[in-house]
Amino acid sequence: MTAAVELEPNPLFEGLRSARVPAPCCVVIFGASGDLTRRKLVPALYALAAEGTLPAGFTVIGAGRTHMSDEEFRNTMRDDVQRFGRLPVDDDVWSAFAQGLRYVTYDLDARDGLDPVRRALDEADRTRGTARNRVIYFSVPSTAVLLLAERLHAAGLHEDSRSSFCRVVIEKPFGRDLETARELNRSLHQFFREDQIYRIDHYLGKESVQNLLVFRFANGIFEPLWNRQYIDHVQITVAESMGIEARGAYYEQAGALRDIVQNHIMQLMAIVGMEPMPNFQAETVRDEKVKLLRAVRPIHPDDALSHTVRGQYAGGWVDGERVPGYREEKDVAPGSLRETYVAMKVDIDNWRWAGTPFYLRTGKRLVKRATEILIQFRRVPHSPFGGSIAMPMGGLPPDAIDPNLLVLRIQPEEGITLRFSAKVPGQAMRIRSVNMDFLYGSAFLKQSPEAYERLLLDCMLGDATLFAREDEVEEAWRLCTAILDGWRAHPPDQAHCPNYEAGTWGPPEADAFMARDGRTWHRP
Amino acid sequence: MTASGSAVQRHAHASGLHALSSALANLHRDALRASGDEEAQVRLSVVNIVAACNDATLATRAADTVVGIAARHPARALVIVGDPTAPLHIESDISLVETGVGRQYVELIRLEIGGEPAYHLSSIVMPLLIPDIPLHLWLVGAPPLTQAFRADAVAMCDRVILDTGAYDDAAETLQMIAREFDVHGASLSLNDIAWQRTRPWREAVAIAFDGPDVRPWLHRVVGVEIVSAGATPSADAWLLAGWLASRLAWPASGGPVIGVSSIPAAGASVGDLVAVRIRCEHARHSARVRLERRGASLVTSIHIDDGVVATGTAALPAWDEGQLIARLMSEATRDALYSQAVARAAQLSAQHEP
Repeated sequence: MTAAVELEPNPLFEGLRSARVPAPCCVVIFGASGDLTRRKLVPALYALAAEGTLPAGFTVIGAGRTHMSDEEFRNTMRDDVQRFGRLPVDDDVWSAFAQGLRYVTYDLDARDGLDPVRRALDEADRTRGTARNRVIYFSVPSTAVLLLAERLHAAGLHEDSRSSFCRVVIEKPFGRDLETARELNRSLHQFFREDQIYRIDHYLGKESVQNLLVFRFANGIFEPLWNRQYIDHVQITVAESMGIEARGAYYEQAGALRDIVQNHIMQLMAIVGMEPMPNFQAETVRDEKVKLLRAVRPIHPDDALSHTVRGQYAGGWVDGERVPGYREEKDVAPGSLRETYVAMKVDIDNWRWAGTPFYLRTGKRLVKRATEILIQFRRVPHSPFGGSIAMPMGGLPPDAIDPNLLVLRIQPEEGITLRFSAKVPGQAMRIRSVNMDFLYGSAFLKQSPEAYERLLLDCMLGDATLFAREDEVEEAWRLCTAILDGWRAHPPDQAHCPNYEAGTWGPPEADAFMARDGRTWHRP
Repeated sequence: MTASGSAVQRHAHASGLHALSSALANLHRDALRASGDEEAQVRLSVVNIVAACNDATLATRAADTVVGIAARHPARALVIVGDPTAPLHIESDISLVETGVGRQYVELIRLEIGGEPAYHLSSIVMPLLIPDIPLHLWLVGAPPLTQAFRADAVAMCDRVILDTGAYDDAAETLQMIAREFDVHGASLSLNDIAWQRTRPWREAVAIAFDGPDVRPWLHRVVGVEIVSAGATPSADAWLLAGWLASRLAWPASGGPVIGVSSIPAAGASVGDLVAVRIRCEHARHSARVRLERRGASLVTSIHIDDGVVATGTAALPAWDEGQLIARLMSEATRDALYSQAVARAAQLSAQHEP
């Protein structure tokens, strides 16, 4: 229970946007000298401050293993906010924000290695009124997560009370497979209750992902069609034109399935496929997502190859530039078989989706960056336009009429496109597909907050709706682990790896995979 | 180009209403023909905006503003200048203006109406509206309010937008609006640009009292001082006072002492809020919450028993008229908080008058 819960509602907030202002609190970022802090976390916190969404006295304690003074930390963060932030730096706002910005050094190897953090927190409580409210962000390597949790617990920094909160934010990967995910959850629960743990998947903080929920559950016309009777299949694509950047060591361990499918794509699939929830409370939304994930038909490891396609990119051309193949990237083994592309077919065994497959794919170094969900509706059962003037050779078969498509674009150019058939003007009965486009940015000029802004604010407010619960993570791993097991038993043939050229839409096997079901991939 | 820099993609002039409708249809057809499949212009409309102006100068300003608003709320915008004393005429300039957002454009129709039809504007406006989407009427400048609150105008519009800060006598204007709320009740969907201007201040006051240490003081306020820039207290200042009094249910007499004043303030425009100072007392303890404008920032300081509890600085948004209206249009058409604030502001300003 938090302080804000115990107090009567603030009557001044009625009707104001910033009813979503958290109680005074302190955000502690472990790994404060890292990239995530510099590029995302502090710029997001600054944007919240600049928009007046943070309480007076709000404090950020950056905790790192390298030595740095408060002043050095502030200067570095200012530069980073200027460089990576959504909003330009305003001197007055920065000055006030920076007053609450501190840096301390910690050492996980020493039993008292978190004392500097504890002292900084106590001081913030005393001088800035943060009232023992804490959000602790684990921006540390996955190998350090449990040790940090244990040390925080040992130092008593995990404690909350009826009048104060302590929440921890943990980044993916949440394990490497089902067993390690369960082990991670079990271990974390020794130190924190589940309701204190916020597993962050920045995809869920995107406005366009949240709009998916609104699209589905605030529009009466689509829900009656949102089932096996009207939908032929669903495609979810997370395509990236960039390679692995400087993450070779990580990617060699992870691969596309762990990096994208297990979290981002599974979350998108859950939102697209879930049943309507009775309200927008964290537990009810997450309950529905878990129900959907539980309904996913298990893939036996022996069937992994027939249900999936793996790929790895070779060198090629992307955006007019020559790019290296995966095996030529830094920290990648010359003979690596790690997948940079995955396509798979998922069947969902419930009344809504039985017989309507979900095709999922993700890949690095594809033609373009695009994340989208495509709903392909069933074709008309009978075309009354057979024998028309346009088809003198014997009429117009039903499959000559393109099926209706609904494309929900997550990024870039967030929006929705509905494809339907229209008559081409003229004497002949010619039919052509036309697109009706809705561009999210055109209808709402307002700048969308960055995903991390939304998620950090939600965490401070104690709203876990857009964070993954332990059972969600484990259900997603259940499917992915079986595939990983199957792949391990049947590694790709060196002669066929890499199997797609950078700057294409993936391996030809992926097209054959769809063709086997009489379907084709949509071109984003 | 419009004054704001938006590009006019296509333009036509028409005399009479029938010619206007034809010209508009022709512009759309031409725009579609001229663009390929990939670059087709998109007409996306969520609202009809009618800007009613008293003179051509205001109309030019309003046209520029509605193009900006339409970028956020895709619209068909009609800017109307009516002059019953002029010779009979209905002249229109129709433009498809690129908003610079995606491939979207706004339809801007500037109408000049002279003679008797100027008394019957609704008969001209109604056929030009896109059906099934709301109609928002913006009273540009400071037109006589008696016209704005005619029953037919209120019934026709989903939202009437005005700026009480544009009138010379803010107190009298708010008192009149309070009477109109009494007459029309819930059917009056009146939105005030001045109310929107007070929003960052309302948010800052709400945030200041949100911490667990400060919240108990919310019901122990003994005095409030609100200061605006200029020669007399502005509508913004009265509205903020009315909001505090209504939200905290302060009695009309015997409640906290509310002072509304004005000062010539450097760095602030006439009418801008400059400071809000709130004093709270309980037993032998006291708290002070102060919000001060410093340049483009709003500085909050909270003292309890002379000790600093917290300070904070947030950017004060520099919203122009179009941005204020666009924000206002994102909210519900009927704002009970506003009508309650106006009622209390009217009472306070009436008590304040010599």
